[in-house]
Amino acid sequence: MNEIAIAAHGLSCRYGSYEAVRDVDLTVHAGELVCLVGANGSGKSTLLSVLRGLRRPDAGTVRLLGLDPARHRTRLAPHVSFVAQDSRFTGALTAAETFHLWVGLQGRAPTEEDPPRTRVRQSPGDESSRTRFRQPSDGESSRRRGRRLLGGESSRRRGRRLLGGESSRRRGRRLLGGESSRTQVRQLSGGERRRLDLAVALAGHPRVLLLDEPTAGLDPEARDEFAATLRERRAAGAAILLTTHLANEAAALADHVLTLP
Amino acid sequence: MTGRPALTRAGALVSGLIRVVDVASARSLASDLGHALVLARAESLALLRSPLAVVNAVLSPVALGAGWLLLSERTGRGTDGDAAGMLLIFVLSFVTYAGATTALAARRADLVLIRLRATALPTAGIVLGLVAPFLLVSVVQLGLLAAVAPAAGTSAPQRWWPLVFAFAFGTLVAVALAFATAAFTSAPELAQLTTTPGVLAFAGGAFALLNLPDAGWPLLIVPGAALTELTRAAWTGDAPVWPAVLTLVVTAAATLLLTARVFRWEPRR
Repeated sequence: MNEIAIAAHGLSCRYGSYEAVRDVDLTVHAGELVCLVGANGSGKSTLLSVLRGLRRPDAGTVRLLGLDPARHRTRLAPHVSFVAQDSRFTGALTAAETFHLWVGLQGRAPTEEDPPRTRVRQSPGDESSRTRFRQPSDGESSRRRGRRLLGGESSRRRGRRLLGGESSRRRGRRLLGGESSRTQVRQLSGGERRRLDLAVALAGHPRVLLLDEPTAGLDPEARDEFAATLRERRAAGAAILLTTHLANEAAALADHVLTLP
Repeated sequence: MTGRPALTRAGALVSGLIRVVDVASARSLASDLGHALVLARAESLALLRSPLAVVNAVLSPVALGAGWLLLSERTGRGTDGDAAGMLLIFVLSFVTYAGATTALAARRADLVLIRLRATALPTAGIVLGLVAPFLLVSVVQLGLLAAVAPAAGTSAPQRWWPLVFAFAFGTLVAVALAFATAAFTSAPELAQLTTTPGVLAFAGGAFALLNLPDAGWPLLIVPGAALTELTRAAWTGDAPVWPAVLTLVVTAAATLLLTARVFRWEPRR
């Protein structure tokens, strides 16, 4: 059995007299995808906020990669992606600037899937340095290494496919084409913002993904692409916990489905 | 004699540990500063893309300051320390206080503030990144006004430290007050309303002081009056500054405490 990535025991959280989450036990291992299903107001979003350390539980314990997420919020940031129900961006920034900002603030190493012109890389042993992703430690060029790892597919094409969808190539380039993108976030549609949010969340291969209704607002094609990406991440060892209203989506994706009353 | 090698070894161990801790903490600090700069860059872009913020926080203080210098040259009133006090208060109240309050309210309404809590930035880094553009703009504006002040007949101050102290603690009070005010500002459009008492506390105290030869304790409690008293003292040279210093320190501490109690990262539900 893989290591436990997410663990909650006897978790309760209340807003005043209203008990949003009551006595929840939850375990997600590395390489496991768990779906949380529940009606509106059942406490799914609250539970994810607690798991990410944005809210302290009123009772119970939470561990993320073995750490208390409320106490080790910044330490966990490079390893944990959290996508909230609504995309949270500064409207005046462009899509590329937004991607730069949030990936940079996560303190996360890059991956080959990241949009080529928005990549950042941390040098080994130096968390503070950020340079263009050009030269991995083994001396192989990033482009060649990316192609090798991705079975011949170029990282640029894969990035576009994963993040923008083949049918919306132009839109994907506009959203995630790096500095050439001039579209401000406030001018993007809900679905485009959602894709940008997911692009930020997936950048850098986080070990834990906490996703609150991640497919809300996506078209069917983008949903399928996203589901394929999640399966790849799960196969690569990521622990994924996502909430959804869609029972069929949960059944198709998840190793386990948990229902919140 | 046997104690000396043990002491030497212990000393070497301690110094080695200190070096390791220092390197680790220096690396962590550099990383945090790097992240804060990433945020500050994004906030600067957002500031410059908002026409209202550019007018209110970038152009208005310079125009008001230049106007004050012109008037003081023509009328002979409000020169030297008084002029420096007014310029400092224009910049602190319009840029650092009102500008930062508006930005904080906007980021919280967009749920960006709570998202920042899920990043690698510690709280101090988030605060620094959010207010850094306003601090930079205020420094540039004061530099510009200081450059043109001699043309308006303003002489050089006799001592600099009260000016530096006034700027540093005035900035601290303005930033803390911005966070406190943002707690009561549900939308950025409301910031012009909610910052009015704070702007009056800065500017009103200074205007009242201009008509008085000396500030009494009641007036000194108002931040603007204490700041103006300090800038006056920079030019008069021998005027007592400790009452103003003390009140500014107490005001800063009180504002920080208030901010810690009332500030929220998420909008009220």
